[in-house]
Amino acid sequence: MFIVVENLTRIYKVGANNVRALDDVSFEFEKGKIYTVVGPSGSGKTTLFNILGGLDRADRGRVFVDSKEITKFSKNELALYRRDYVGFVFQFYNLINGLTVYENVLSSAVLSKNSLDVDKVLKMVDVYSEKDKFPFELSGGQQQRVAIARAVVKNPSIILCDEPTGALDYESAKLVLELLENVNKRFNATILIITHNLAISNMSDATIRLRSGRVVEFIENHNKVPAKEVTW
Amino acid sequence: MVIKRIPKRIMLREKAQFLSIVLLVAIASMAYALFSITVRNIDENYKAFIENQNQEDGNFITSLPVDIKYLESKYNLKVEERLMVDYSEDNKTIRVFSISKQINKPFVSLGNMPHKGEILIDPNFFKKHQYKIGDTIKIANKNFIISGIFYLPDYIYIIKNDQDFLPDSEHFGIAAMNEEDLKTIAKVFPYHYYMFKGNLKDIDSFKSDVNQKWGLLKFVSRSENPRITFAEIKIDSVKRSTLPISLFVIFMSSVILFIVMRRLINNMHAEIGTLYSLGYSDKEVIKVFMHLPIYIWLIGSIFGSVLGFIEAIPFSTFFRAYFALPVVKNVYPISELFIAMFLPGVFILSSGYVAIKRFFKLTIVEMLHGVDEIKFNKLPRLSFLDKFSFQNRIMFKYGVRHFAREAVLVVGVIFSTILLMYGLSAKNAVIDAINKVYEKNFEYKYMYILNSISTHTELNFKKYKVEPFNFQAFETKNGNFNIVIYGIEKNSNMVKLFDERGARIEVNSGFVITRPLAQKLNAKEGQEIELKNKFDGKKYKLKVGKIADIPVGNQGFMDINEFNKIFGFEKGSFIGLYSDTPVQIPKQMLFDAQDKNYMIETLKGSAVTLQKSIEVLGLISAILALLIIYVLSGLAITENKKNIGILKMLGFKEKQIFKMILGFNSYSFAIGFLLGIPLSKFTMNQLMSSATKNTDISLTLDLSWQSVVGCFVVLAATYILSRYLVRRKVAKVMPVDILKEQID
Repeated sequence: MFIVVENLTRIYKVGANNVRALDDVSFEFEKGKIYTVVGPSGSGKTTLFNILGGLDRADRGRVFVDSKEITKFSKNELALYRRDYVGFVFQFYNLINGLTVYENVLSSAVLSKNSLDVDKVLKMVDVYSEKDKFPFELSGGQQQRVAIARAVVKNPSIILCDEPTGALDYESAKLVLELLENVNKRFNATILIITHNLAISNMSDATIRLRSGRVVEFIENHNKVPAKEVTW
Repeated sequence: MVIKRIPKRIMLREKAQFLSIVLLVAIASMAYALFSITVRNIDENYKAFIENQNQEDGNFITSLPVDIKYLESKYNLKVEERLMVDYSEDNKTIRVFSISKQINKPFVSLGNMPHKGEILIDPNFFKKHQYKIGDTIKIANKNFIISGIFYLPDYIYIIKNDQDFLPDSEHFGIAAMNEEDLKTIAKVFPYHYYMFKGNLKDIDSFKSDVNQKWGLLKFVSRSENPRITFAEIKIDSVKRSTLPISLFVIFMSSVILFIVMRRLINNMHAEIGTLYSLGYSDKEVIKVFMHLPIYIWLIGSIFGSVLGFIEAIPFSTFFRAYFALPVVKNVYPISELFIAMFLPGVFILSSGYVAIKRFFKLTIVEMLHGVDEIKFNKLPRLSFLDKFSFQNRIMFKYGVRHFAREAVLVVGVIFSTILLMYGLSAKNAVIDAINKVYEKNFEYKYMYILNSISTHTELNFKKYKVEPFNFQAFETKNGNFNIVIYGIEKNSNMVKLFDERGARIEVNSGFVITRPLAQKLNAKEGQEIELKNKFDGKKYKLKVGKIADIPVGNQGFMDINEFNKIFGFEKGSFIGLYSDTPVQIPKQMLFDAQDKNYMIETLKGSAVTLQKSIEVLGLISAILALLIIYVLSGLAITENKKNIGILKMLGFKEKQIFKMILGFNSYSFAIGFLLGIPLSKFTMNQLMSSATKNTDISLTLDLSWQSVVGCFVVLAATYILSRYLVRRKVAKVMPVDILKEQID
């Protein structure tokens, strides 16, 4: 298994109370597959995203990626892990406003030893013609495609997407999903999509349903449909 | 690395804000470079000048010619006589000296030493009256050719009378010519002027010796000579104020930069978090953001230092001309330029680093979510403000929650107020002093000082309306400063003294001292003060009867009969006369004659020269206030863009929004101004007491309502201008753009 999560627990202190954002969560992901994580607000989706991405630390439990226990990593090791293994796609794109489209993607490419050609990736996500523009000059759909290009250009093993279609209109959202599917096929990247939109789970290989920090369901999808056919 | 471009782009995006901070740094560097280089230049030139030209250690005037050899051998001194005569015509006075050979040698900066029929003129008088070398100048009906410009080491501050405040080259100048020529224009020299060089150990016995043998009329040691010490005091006060003023501006810009950087980085929370999520390390990200303070420092300090360095050349010339100090050598110290460049760097880089480092203590998740959201739960509720109307409630809460920003605004306004009040009050103080001293207190029109103290039975003044007076110079017990005590007539019509309430004080009610003297001695009415006569060293204890409201001078007044009795003079003795009309006094008896109208005109005229420095101070304080208010208000708008958009969407008018977000600034401005007024009084008193510590002049700077109103008008105009500039920013915020930034 490419990603192994064992008894993962994360507790946040909110005022005087302890909130268990993740409570003894365990699952396994294979390499090169698409997974969706669904659940209501506060179910622990983003916490799981953060820990898998090396952005946050667990209080208990272990996470193995490519047989390396990332939960034991130091701050610097986590930075290297994010650099070499993970690409992120956020709901509000999180592009660097002071950099052009090309520079945003380049800022990610320069970190990786196996990066892809920036121009080719921009062409792939269909924003090459906008490469000299700044993020605020683009539509939301275009910005999200740039964000995907930035995640992909490092040629990462894992692409973590937190509500990648949450801020987009239907057409733009569909284009983004198709793009993620395309990336998965071309680069054999494991893709994890966190979403409120249950319809997206139709294009994934498996779906984890979280509630109150616990895995309530792990459903393998034997009738996976192409992203193009996903509707809501 | 491509992310290195981020800081440059941020600066271009927020150019007004960063330009303002760059300007603050530039002002700080410029102020330091300008003042320190000028002071070094003046200081080193001054030292070289007084050494090369052999500046005197003192001078004295006698009625009879002294035995120079006797004095030189007995007191181990170098003594040289110098002839001196004042020549007045058309409201202009030229004091002509003979050229000395050993002490106070003239320095000719342009032209040549004068031959027979030639004359040297001081540079300020020369410039003011647009003379050229080779021009002819008429003195006592004789023509002299101007052979050059010269400087005297004992006339660095060219004032006519010892008690004058400011030089006035329009009405007074000095000149030098050969002794033979001088003797042709002044046939009679009623007194003898000597300069000495050497360490006079027992001044009292020297004075007593000279007085007994040749009749000492005046003795001035180097440290008491205002024409020398004024320049030293002014250089010293500029030296002392350079660093604090520059440091304060640097400190202010650093604090503002800290606030701006913190806000800016907080606003970029998601972008920085994203850089981490991409795999950038702490070091790489901090390095990138440290470029912001580095750019600000480099641009500001290089621009400011170079400007200060360039400006130091004309400024030194202006300053030097004010003192009549020649260029003996060129001094442009590169070390000061480097300090001007690197000093702001220490503060700016530290504040930038602290601002960044604080943010980088957050976790990546906190960065991605934003600090405001995280801190929101910690914000004070301030429920006591809920009783106000919605708009006022929001305004007060914004102010209280952004306490640091408002505090910087208050400090900035205080600083600008102090700077401006100082300028305005200095001008008022001089004009007030002139009005009070020469118009209200001293009602005589002419003052004559004779060359001896006696009953002067040989003189007949019956046809004139005159009042005799007497005076003696004293020093305090510890020799800290000098006091002149006058003996005047009871119920004098020429010298009128008033108390603080404006009630007339008569000298028959006891010994009266001036207000500055009382302040310096810390003396109150009824208290005894101990004084030592500067001529014979005798000690006296005098009880202070009243304190007169005279703003200038360390002086005391008493009834002339009492004066003669206490200090051992024959009944009816006097040294001078106050008069309403010109009095004919034989030249050989006259030591000095002063026309009060001429003095008032001269002083008022010279007060105009203060105008320039006041305008500069006003401009600097207004620019500082403008920059500080603009940066802080602009920052509030930038970080509240989203809220402004939402408030606009809800239907609030721009004016209402402006009030809610920035309304508290007006209170901070008012607080800053109100605190600035008493603080200006305090700092000005400190400044003046240290500046006049070693002089016979004491100026008290009073805050007049005119200065307060003037200061308020300038600062309020600055405040309104900055508000106008910021208000345009509010107008530019479109609700639709805010929504687009969130959701497409």
